[in-house]
Amino acid sequence: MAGRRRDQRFQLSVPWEGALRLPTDVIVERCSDHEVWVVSPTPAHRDEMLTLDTAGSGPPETLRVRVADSVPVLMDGVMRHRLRLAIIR
Amino acid sequence: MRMKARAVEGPDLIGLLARSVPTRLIDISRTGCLLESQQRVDEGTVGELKLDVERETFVDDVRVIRCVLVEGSGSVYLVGAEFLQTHRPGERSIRLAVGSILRELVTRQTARRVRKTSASQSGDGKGTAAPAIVNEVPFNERGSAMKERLVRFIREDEGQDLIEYALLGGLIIAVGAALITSIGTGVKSQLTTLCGVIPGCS
Repeated sequence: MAGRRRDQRFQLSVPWEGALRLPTDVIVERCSDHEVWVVSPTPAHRDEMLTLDTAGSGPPETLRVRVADSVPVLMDGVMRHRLRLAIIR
Repeated sequence: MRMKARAVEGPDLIGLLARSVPTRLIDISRTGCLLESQQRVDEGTVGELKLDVERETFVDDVRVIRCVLVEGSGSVYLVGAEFLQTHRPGERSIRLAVGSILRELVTRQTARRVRKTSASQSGDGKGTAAPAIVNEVPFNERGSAMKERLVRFIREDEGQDLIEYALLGGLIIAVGAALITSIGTGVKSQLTTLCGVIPGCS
């Protein structure tokens, strides 16, 4: 048991609610008024709600999106996933 | 990104696609925390942990180091995460607040120990007041909001290790007692046999 816990831990009598935000780098292939097509290293579930932050030549923008489609694709010998994202706002 | 009526090609446009996994904070230390989640999170994943505490949000970057399915729970995972020191902790930093609490606890424990030592040295238990050798570490004001909230909710699990040691000790004693009893019975039976063989032995 010695050394099993590096640091003193505190338990919460009432657990706190929160969220773990897990970002993934994607390449934006195409976009329209209502949809964005991206290539991602990881797949996504259909109807999953995600956030897309874009950074390119223009100003950075944050979009709330819903996964409309997730299709595996082979790009340069590497498995990727093409996601069709519906823009919520 | 400028949205246009027609689909446009944007090969150089990069993006950050973020998934938000709802979690509950179970326990916390200076270097990491234990979360409960309904979704599996891959070990090694780096992300941002946001905690909502009484309408305020506290944030820190974390790396998932363990994700274990709770047996019999269906799809409840326990996620162990360590805080990443990617930048200087800000006003809403979780680890800053935890560090602050820890310093306070250490200060209190040291003071208690010093008081006990000085009382035992005086002999009569009443003793003199503890000498002022305790370094009072002032709290960082920036983390005080989170600290106050944490203090209200946490309960220290310091005693947990003691219980584990006590249980281990009890188990060793029980096994030892059983062994000695069984050896004793064997020795007694051998002596009885020996006594029966030797004439004049009662």
